[in-house]
Amino acid sequence: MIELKHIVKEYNKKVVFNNINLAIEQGQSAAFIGHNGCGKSTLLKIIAGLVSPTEGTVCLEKGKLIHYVPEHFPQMNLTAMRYLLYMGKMDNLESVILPTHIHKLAEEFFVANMLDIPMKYLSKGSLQKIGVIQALLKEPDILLLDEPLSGQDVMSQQVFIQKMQELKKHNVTILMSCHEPYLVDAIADEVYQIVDGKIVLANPELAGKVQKYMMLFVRTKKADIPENWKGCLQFTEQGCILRVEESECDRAMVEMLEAGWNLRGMCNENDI
Amino acid sequence: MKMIYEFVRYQYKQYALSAKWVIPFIVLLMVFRVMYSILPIDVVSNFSIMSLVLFLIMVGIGMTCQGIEPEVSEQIIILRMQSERKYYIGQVLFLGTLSGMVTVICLCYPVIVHYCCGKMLFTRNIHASDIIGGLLLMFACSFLGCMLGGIFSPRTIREREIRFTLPIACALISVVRIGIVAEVPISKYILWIVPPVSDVVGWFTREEYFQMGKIIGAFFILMVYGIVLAVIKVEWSKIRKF
Repeated sequence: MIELKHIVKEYNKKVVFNNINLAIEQGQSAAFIGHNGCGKSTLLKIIAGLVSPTEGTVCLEKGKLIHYVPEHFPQMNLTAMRYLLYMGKMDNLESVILPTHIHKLAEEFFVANMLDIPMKYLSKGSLQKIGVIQALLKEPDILLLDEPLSGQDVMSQQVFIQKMQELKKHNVTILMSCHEPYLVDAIADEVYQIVDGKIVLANPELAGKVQKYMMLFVRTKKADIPENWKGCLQFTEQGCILRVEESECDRAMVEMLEAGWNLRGMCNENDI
Repeated sequence: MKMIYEFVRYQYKQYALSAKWVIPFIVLLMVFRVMYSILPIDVVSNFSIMSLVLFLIMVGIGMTCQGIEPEVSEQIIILRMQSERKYYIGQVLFLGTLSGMVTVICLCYPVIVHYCCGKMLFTRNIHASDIIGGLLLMFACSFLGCMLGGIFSPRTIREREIRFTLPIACALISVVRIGIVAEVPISKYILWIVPPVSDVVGWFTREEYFQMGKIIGAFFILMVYGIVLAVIKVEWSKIRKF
């Protein structure tokens, strides 16, 4: 369905991709991981045809509808509702059902009360949700997600993951660039790592083969952040969520308790 | 087609909510104030001069319209429309219809003033041929100006200074081209590239009435230039991508 053949991309004489080959089938979901600036977003844009590769070709089946969730959704003068209405109409959705459909999605993502506010006044997280909603108005053939969860609250992240899993059931191809391991685990069938301009299939650990657990901690007054687990923490209003592999659970829990956090819950990520 | 129609509507909404129309609108009001403060004036020569002024204003409007859509939003819409060409054609249609609206304002204002002032504004009565001639000439100049301004977008020219100075220089040279060529005849081999606005409008400045043959010729030449610029814009944007 999508085939990248010998893709080379250079920016200001710096090689971002060096002879990349990749084939993605309809219904497949793949995640691209790697350091900041390694070219994840550029790769998505090359696949979508928004950026031209310096060399090589992108073969994409004709007539496929691609929707795109950008990393930073722009601030605009339009209200979110007005913007989504226009996007829906461009998707050829019926004007009669469109407002209801938008409201339903907005309620699911907890932004229903923000629909009539100009988007330039919305927070980063709320804007990101509008970016997700516009991509979900009509089911695409290919969905490109560029850091889709940046700035979103925990509940909305769960809704997002649920929506992506529904799309997977409908055979939608999902390609995403992201840093959040739990999102990769929840959505991606295959994980590709971009290293030194090459794409390599990431190891099973990154591909989500290892069981991971989530622990919910609440903050006490003297709570500190342990260095060892900094990268696995996701902060919430009351505390944080720690995601670790099964083998690290006991050690992580002890260190977090010692650092002044109180444990309030724990579960296997796959059970959510 | 519905998709392009919705996109054009979306562009109008974005443009209306931006403040980018305010300055051109104020300039237009100032032009009206200056041009129609001395009575009476000649119909054909007034419409011709107004066409030149409109050309310059529309270059400015065409330039400022390029910044109303954030790049990310452009990408989302291009993918949604499943065609870059449709997207850019939508942009051209937006600029074209905007040119039409400004033209109608520029034509209606003096006509209304003429009838409201007891037919004192113009030296003679306005005929249907004046309205048609004025409309065609003004619209063609307006469309050409808009396309000239629109071709220099952040997508096609990344350097901000060049993006602003080049269309202004082109527009000013277009307006005085006839004078430059008269002074330096050899310059015509280079200046053919800028729109022939002054040459074409110059056909009418000393006319008492619009002649349909000349008007159709002028409309055709200016529109061909405008359409060529629109095609260059579409293809150039497609090549440059993001």
